[in-house]
Amino acid sequence: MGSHILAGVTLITATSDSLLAGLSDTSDQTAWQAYVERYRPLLWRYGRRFGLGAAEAEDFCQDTLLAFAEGYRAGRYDRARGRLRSWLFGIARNVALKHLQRTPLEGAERSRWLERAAGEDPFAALWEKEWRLAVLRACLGEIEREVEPQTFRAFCLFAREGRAAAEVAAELDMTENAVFCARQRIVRRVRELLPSVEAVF
Amino acid sequence: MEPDGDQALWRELVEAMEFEEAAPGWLRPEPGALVAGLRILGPLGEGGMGVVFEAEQQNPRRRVALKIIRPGSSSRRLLQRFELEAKVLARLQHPGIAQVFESGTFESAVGPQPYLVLELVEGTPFLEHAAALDVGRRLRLLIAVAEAVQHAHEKGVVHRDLKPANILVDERGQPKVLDFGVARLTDDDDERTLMTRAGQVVGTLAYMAPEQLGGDPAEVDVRSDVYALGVIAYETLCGVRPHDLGGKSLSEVSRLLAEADPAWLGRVAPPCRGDVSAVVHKALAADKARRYPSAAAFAADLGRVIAKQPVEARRPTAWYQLQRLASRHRAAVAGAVAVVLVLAAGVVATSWQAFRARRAEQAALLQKQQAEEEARGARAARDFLQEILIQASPAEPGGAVLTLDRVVEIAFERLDSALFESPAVEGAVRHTLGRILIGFGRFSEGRDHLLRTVELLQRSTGSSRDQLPWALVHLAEAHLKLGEADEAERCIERALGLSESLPGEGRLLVATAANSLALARFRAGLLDEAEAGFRRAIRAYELAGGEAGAVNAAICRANLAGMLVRSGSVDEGERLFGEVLPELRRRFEGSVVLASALANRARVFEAREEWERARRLLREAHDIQVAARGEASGPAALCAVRLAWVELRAGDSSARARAEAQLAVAARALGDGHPEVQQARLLLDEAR
Repeated sequence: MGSHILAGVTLITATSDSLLAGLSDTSDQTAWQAYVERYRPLLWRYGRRFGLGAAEAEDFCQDTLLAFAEGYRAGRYDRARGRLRSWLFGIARNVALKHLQRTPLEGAERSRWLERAAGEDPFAALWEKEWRLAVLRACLGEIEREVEPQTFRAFCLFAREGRAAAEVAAELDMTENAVFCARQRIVRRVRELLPSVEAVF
Repeated sequence: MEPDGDQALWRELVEAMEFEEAAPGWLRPEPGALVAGLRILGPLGEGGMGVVFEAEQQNPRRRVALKIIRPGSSSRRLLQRFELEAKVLARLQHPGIAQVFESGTFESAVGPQPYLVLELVEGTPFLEHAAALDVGRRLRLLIAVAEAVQHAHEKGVVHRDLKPANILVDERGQPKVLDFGVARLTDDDDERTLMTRAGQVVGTLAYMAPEQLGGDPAEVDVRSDVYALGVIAYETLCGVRPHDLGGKSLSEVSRLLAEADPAWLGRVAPPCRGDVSAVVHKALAADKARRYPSAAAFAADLGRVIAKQPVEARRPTAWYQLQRLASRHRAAVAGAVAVVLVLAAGVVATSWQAFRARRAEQAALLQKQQAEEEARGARAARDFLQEILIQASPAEPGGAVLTLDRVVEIAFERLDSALFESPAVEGAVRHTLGRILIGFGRFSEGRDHLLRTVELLQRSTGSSRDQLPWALVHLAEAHLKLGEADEAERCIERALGLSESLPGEGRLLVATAANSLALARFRAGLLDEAEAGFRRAIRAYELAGGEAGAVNAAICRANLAGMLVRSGSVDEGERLFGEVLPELRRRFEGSVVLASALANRARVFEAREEWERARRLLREAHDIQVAARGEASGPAALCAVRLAWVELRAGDSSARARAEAQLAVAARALGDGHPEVQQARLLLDEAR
């Protein structure tokens, strides 16, 4: 594994179905790891979004993945009844509620979440959003492997660090125009990749 | 300007990347970064417990492994525990254990991070290294691992996550166990531990002792590591793990480990038969009280295997000592052991047959067969073997599987060795083994032994060739059980050709096999083959002679006649009935055998629509059934239905009510779904 800028983003070489198939074999650690690598960051962010601390979010991920693995092996995942996205959401939501109820209340943010927990909407909307962001990150992970490091680096400085084009150009010894081109090229490529990545995620 | 869509996507991408810095999951320092005073060189690996980096230490200057432990939730208590445990780990100093140089915590973006600085082990993965070695060297490697584990146990550290992935072998061939005590470092509260570990180590359940999955951490002790060593040894020696856990849930795995015995190593890997298997299986006992009490004891017993000394895993039984004796004085005791073995197998068969009355006659035959070989000394040997078999209690390691697997394995050991100086003796042993296996329902294995038996006996000369027809009959039996009727037929044909040399019981056995074959053909709807089969069986029974031969030949003829009528050869069937019925009447006065034959003959006249003759025969059959079994019995009622049906066909319309009433009786006695009940109902419906 190299030191990618988007550390932790897995290659989308496996479909979620093939990962799931691997999970039914208790001894297939590769599938399990790939699965965890793909969905843990998503779950972590999801946990953080409704007010869990860093360590709590870790536990939330762990519990969700565990409940998922157990449920999957017990045959509770019915492919015909919906995509992985909604099944994992059901589990994540239950685990999130437990975490929110278990931990002592700190701050207005959390109590607001608990109050709203009766309605599914905030959880579901957040989930849809995080899922989308995870898919986008996966696209970026693919693109990072495709393009010149310079191009991707420019994009990161631009997007992640919000720097001005002139500043990025100076730092990377490019023209300003080249920086804009890099940005546009990557956005376009994301658009192209999006449907196929979405389909396998 | 960019299109609007690109703008929206761009904003999403910015958001997707914003969060990245705050979502490490694991701390992932980049190469060159300084962590805990170490310069990171690059990642080495990642597991449930944390991330490992290769790093450079300044003082002393060396390359080390930096392990950053995953923080739990309520970290205070955890961190205290961590400090305590890390000190203990630092005391582990053994060439077989990756040394802990240093431990501590450092502050990071996600809170305090415990870490360990470890000896950097560069080597080959354990199984990969072992695969290139012969059995002896593999055993030595396993001993080295067990000794390292023993060292840790003496310092109070149980590994709890031993697996091949945690063992590397360095260039000097020294195995190094990694990750000692790490499982314990990450313990939070006990209930969670199991959950977390179950989730994290999904791939390593295979090495966990049953008590580790039981939920009570107090149950886990050094013997859990002994179990893991057993699994590793098993996998090292034969390439597969003792239990196939594929596709099973945690609770299923738990049950499987506690209840199922692993496949005997010696059967999976023939070179490991005998002591190696016994030692590995003792380490693998589901009940920890039956395992070796320590890793050292396991290592010591493996050492005895190499030195060809008696192992602890095997009780010093007379049989075991005899085996030892035999391997030291091979030639001298060869014959005796072979004979003893045949007898041992005979004892097993006999004790099973005690539960299976219908096999009693075969046991008698078996003993008769053995009588000529059974010298006075051999009888004494059988007594003590019987003793061993009776004493084989589940409390003894490996005892639970002794009933069949062990005996068969002991037999296999002998089969493999040079003990059998003649094909005749080997043939005799395989013959017995094959029959035992068939008795236990393991038909294909039994068949294979019997196939080999037949080969061996054909090659042998002298009196042992007399066994050939017996072997052929037993082989035919196996073929029939496996649905291989054509093969069974060839065996029976050959046995028939040889059966003149057999005693009466032997010929009878051949004939019985022929009859079974014919019935199988008939049930399969192969009427031509069935007809040929019945004729063959009749010949065989006649050849067998004696009262039994004559009686059975008559029954066979009646069956053949009934079959001919059913298949449309009415006249030929009737001719045969005409021949055989007087004899049946004489021999089976008042018996249901006669009743069946009469009812079958009635079909001849039903086919010819000679209703009165059919009625007379059915009336007689019914009377016999009622006398023998009672009016309310199924066969009697079915016979009555047929009778009423014939009367109905003859024009007696009052018979319908009788038929319906009798059908209800039959259905009560035999159940509504019984094929003959359904047939009878069909018959009545058609007559409407």
